Formats: sequence, C-alpha cells, structure tokens
Amino acid sequence: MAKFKPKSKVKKKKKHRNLVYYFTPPLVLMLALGICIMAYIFTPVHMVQPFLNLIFLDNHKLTDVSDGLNIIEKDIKTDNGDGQTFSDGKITYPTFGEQYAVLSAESIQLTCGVFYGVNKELLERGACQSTQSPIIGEAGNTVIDAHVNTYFANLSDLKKDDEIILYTDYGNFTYKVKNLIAFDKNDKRYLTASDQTLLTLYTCQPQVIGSPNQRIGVQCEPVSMKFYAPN
Amino acid sequence: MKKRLVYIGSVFVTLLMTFLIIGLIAAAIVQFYALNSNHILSLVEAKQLPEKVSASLTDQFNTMENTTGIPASIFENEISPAKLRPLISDSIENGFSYIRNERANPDAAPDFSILETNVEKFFIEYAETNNIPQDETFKTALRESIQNAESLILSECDVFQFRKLNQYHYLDKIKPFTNWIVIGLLACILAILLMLFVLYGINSEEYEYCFYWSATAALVGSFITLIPSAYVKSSNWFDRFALKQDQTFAAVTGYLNMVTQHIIIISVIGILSSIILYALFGILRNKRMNKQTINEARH
Amino acid sequence: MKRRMLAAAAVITFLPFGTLHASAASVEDVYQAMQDVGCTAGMITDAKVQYENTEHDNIGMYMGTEYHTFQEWVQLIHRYGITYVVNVIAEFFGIDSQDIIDYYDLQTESDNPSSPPANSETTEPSVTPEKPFDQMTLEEMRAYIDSLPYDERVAFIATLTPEQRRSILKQLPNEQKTEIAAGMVDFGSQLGLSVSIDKINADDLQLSIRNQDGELIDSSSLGFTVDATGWDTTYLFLGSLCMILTACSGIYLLGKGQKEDTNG
Repeated sequence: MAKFKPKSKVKKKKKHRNLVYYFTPPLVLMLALGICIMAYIFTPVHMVQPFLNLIFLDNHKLTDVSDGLNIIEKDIKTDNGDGQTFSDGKITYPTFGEQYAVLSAESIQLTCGVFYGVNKELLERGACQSTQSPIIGEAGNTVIDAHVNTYFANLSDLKKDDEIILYTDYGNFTYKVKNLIAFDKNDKRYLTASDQTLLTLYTCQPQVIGSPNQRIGVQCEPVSMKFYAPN
Repeated sequence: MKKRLVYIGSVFVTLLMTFLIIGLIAAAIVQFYALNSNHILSLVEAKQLPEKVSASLTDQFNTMENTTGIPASIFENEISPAKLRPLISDSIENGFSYIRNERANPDAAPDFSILETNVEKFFIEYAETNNIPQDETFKTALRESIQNAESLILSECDVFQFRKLNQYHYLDKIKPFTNWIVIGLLACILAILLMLFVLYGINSEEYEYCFYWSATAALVGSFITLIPSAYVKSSNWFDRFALKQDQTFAAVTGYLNMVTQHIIIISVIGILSSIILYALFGILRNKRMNKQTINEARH
Repeated sequence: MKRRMLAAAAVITFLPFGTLHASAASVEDVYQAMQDVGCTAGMITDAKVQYENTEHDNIGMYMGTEYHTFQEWVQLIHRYGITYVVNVIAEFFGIDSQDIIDYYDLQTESDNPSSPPANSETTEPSVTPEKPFDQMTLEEMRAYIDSLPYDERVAFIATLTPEQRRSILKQLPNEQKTEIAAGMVDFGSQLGLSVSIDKINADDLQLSIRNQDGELIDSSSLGFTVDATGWDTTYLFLGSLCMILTACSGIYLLGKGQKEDTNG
C-alpha cells in the first residue's frame, strides 16, 4: 500500500521542485559568469589590445584624450639598412605624445612603439619614456615603462645579456640586459639621473587584488649607438 | 541524500558542459568563419575595398608627383579597382593562409611587369628628351622609383596589415594555436558526449532530467557568448575606432562585425536548442508524473 | 607675496645689467640654465624642439613668441627660475632670500658676465655629510644645513644641484609646494608656456605644461615619478568572487531542499 501523503505536503514538494527548476539555470549562469570573469583577470587577454592598437594605429578611442595632447604615431623603420652610421650624431628631439622609437626584444618576441612622455592615454598605446629621463641616444639613464597587462606582459622573461634594440628616425641603439631589478613604487633609485648611459625598462609586478606597489624590470647597458647623421 | 548528490553532481557536470559548449562555439567560429578565407574574401566586394584602395593610391601618387616628378597618370591603369581586386584578395588569402600555417610568409608576389614597363618607358622618354645620360645613377633612380611604387601598392592592398603584424611578431603568437583548433573542436564534441553519458548515468532513475541539464548547459553557454556579442553589435563598438586608412578600417571592422554576427547566430541557435530541450523535458516529465499519478490512483 | 616682490625687484634691477653685455652664451647655456633652475625635462626638450623648428640666429632664439639673445634668456631664466624655487627653499631652511640674491650678484660680477652665474658648480661645505644630500630626509637635510656656518649655508643653497633641488622639492610640505607651483606658473609664462597644476598632495605635485598653441608639451611631477603601469583588478576579482559564492550558496540551498524533499 502506498504511503499516504497529505495534499499540503504534495503541494509543498511540487512548489519546491518548481523552485529548483526555475532557479537552477540563473544560478548556473551566475557561477559560470563568475568563473569567466576570474579567468579573464588571470589570463593575459589584454594582450589583444596591442594587436588592435597596431592595426588601428591612429586612435584607439576608449578614453578621452587630455586637453592639448597631440598623439603622433609614426612608421619607424626597423631594418638597419646598409647606410653609414656614426657613434655620435644628431638627435631629432620629439614632442610630448610623439611615438619616436620602436623597442624590440627578440628574446621575448616583444616589439612596441615608444612614446615621449607618460600619461594614461599614451600608456594605452605603447611604452612610454619618462620626460624626466634623457632622450634615447643621449647620455644618462633613459627610463621607459609600459603596462604589464599589455606591452610589457613578458618583460619579466628577459634574462641577463638579452639584447634590446631601440629604433628611431635618427639612429638605432642596441643594449644588453645588465641586471634584473625589483623595487617599491616609492623607491626612485633606478629612475634617477646617472652619469652612465643606461636603459631602464620597468612595469608593475602583476597582482590580482589591490594596486600594485612593486615594480619589476631590467637595467641595460649600451652595446652600440648608431646615428644616421653626424653631430 | 541521494537526491542531493544527484542534484549537485548534475550541476557540476552541467557547468563543465557549459564551458565545453563555449569552447565548441569559439572553435567552430574560428575554424569555419574567422580563418576561412572564403567568408573573409566576401568582404572585399561588400566593403568596396578595391575602390577605397584605388582612391587612396591615386591621392598618394598625385602627391608624390610633386616630389618625384613622375606623373600619377603613369600608374593610373595599374591602380584601378579592377587591377587591385586580385591583389587585395591575394593579400587576404596569403595572410590567413600564413596564420593557418599553410604558407611560409604572408607576403604576396604580384605581377608588376606592366607597371615596371610604364615607369621605365617614362624614364627613358624623359632622359632622351632632356639629354640625361642613362648611366648607373639613372638606373638606380629608375629601380628605386619602381620599388617605391610597388611597395606602396602592396602596402595599401595589405588591408589587414599582415606585414606590420608579422614585423611586430604578433602573427607568430597566433600561429601555434591554429594547429590545435580542429583538435579542440573534436575534443569539445567528444567531451560533451561524454558529459551527456555521465548525466544519463547520474540521472538514470529519472532520465528526462538529462534533457533539463543539457538544456541548462546550452542556455547558459549560449547566453555567455551572446551577451558580449550582442552588446558589441548593438553599440557599434568597432566603429568607435578612428583610423588612418579607410580600407583597413573597412576591412578589419567588417571582419570583426562578421565574426560577431556569426557568434550571435550560433548563440541564438544554442538558445533555441535549449528551449526545445526544455520542452522535451517538460513533456517527458509530465508523462512520468501522469503515469505516477495513475499508478497511485490505482493503488 | 614678499618673495614675489623680491623676485620682481631682482628682475628689474638686474635685467638691464644683463642687456648691456655682449652675448657670448650659446643655446646649450640656455638649456643648462633651464636645468639648473629645475625646469622639467619636457620643458627643456620643448625648448630644443623650438630651437630646431623655429627661426634662430647665432646669438638668440625664440621661445614662445619672444625673441631674446641667449645671454638674455640665461639671465631671465636664472632670475625668474632660481628666485622662486631657491627662495622658497632658502626660507624653509631659515636663510634670508636676499642673501641668496646677493650671492648670485657677487658671482655674476666676479665671473665672466657673458656666461651664467656658476650655479651648476656646487660649493664644497666645510662639514662633510654622512650620506649624499639628495638621499637625506628633510629632517636630516635641515640638521645638516644647520651644522654649517651661515655664509656656507647661503652658498650651499644657492648652488644646489638639480638632483638636490628636486629631492628637497619632493619632500617639502604642501604649503611650500603650492608656492613653488604658483611661481612656476609665473615663470612658465616668461617662456611662453602655460603651466597648470593637475594634482597636489603629500606625495606629489603634478603639473601640465602647454605651449602657446595649447599643445601639451609635458605632464610630470616635481621629481622622479614611478608610474602606475598596472591595472587594479580588485573590484573585478571581488565581484566575480561574490558571484561565485552567491551561486554556490544558492545551489547548496536548493540541493539541501532536495534532501528535505526526500525526508518529507
């Protein structure tokens, strides 16, 4: 004989089963979306941005451009050519917001434009050279930084003696990684002026929660300075 | 307790199936649309790429006339839309073939013999008229003019900027993945079948729940792919990009819009499939409940 | 206010003196003068760009719409530039700014008048610091300067290197930073530049400098800046974690209900 179930309990059972049917898909959707967003944070999906920037060249208008900021993107030749070069030569000074160099590090398959000046808009378009540091080719410590989520995602893969080349319209400059550096955001010692000619590249240490306080990078010494025109 | 385990187990398998469905949609889109030259080549006419490239080249050769002295009319025939159409198609075909690892490099090797003849003819006539010796300097100038013109035409016809992407090593980053797309596609299909089998095993007592859970996986997976695509399409997100070159803008945004559209279509198919599966679940569930009620009434 | 009046007085007093002398300064002297007074590197590079791209001759150049000889530019830069920065620093360390001006005048008279005051040469003090001056905290700097005789203090402050000056500027309290920023606005206008203050807080003084066409030529802080080159994913991470936890809780409760269903 079947167990007698009161009508109210049958109704309650049916109501609960309906709740399960209706609420399960949205809950599964929420769970799946949460996992997708988490995966988005941890995987270098932002790497697609350099592709888009490269293709679109002109303006990747996701943010408003600072008042008066004149962004100039240039096609700089990265083939060395057979022309005569000089160890000391004429520098063509860039304006703020001008992409005046291309940085190439074959060992980590990195190639990106270098802008003169650092601000939010320029960091979205490529690597940026601090205006507080000398122009590429000048004596002193040239400092270049970029976002870790995009252009400098693989900067930490650089090793000692890896070669880095900076191509400009007035010359090409080859450096060799001298040492790997890590410093706190309040520590300026790798950014200050130097009597030695150096190239310092840095970016944030990847971090999931909170604003990153640590910076990582490399300091490089020059191997060759080839100017296209004499001084 | 058993029912709870069945429920939690089913949710877990459904979650796995959801990601497999997303993977399947992504792999299918890439294999059949994103890297399929036939679909991409349809953009050439749809976006009037030959006309745009022709207009751009005409402007540039007209401007260059002031500095080089070579009349733009020399190049007129060679930069007509009809002449550029095969060059653009070749550039697209070669570029995507390179990404699919079917070619060693993305560069096109077009036939510029008529252009070279025209330029040479102009140079020789000019030299004869102005008594300029046809020495090494003359030949170098001729060679450079031809090379510059060819390079400019090829550059403009490279509407997807494959050369620049290759120069910056970005294509090398994509290429390793293209080999795995078919394998990924098959793996997703097999894994989904396996999950269905597991679901049936878990819900063997009430097998109609397999339809419910499959429908949930299809619905959730399709929603996750539909939401961003629909947003991008409805907000004309790609049109926000300003661009130097008209033809590159048209080609790339057209391509991205085409891929987005196909993602939306497949997602909608996924949602419709899930509705059908839910309906099937409803029918089978009702049948079972009716059977149970009849059995209870009999007893 | 007092400092600005002194600055104005200095300019009025010394600019005519500057114009009487033949200019043997060069464009490099102008760049050096800008560096000496703490102009941002972007301002100096813009001056170089202006020199390359605008009309100039072998005795002078344009900056903005003003033409001056190189010597005049050097003196103008020193008078305006040094005055607002060094005077603020001098007063902070308890030195009368008039003594600084007197020191420069002495240097100008004794040196070759066609070359700038020997501002880039630091004076060796009688007391050797325990560590480089530009690496000291503000309190350590104050203690060190107080240990020097008064005339050496004047000479030391008057001949700070750009690095030492920047180190001080970086650490100065907001009140002094604001005065310097206001001074830079005045000084910038002499070079045909529009200086605006974007941000001023305990850590930083952020300036934007635009030329007469409104083009941004520099956006930097007084001192070296470590840029924020990472994106803060905190909210995204926490949001997705909330979603996952909520969904898991909901699924657990529904599953628990299944258990009750069996027992009920």
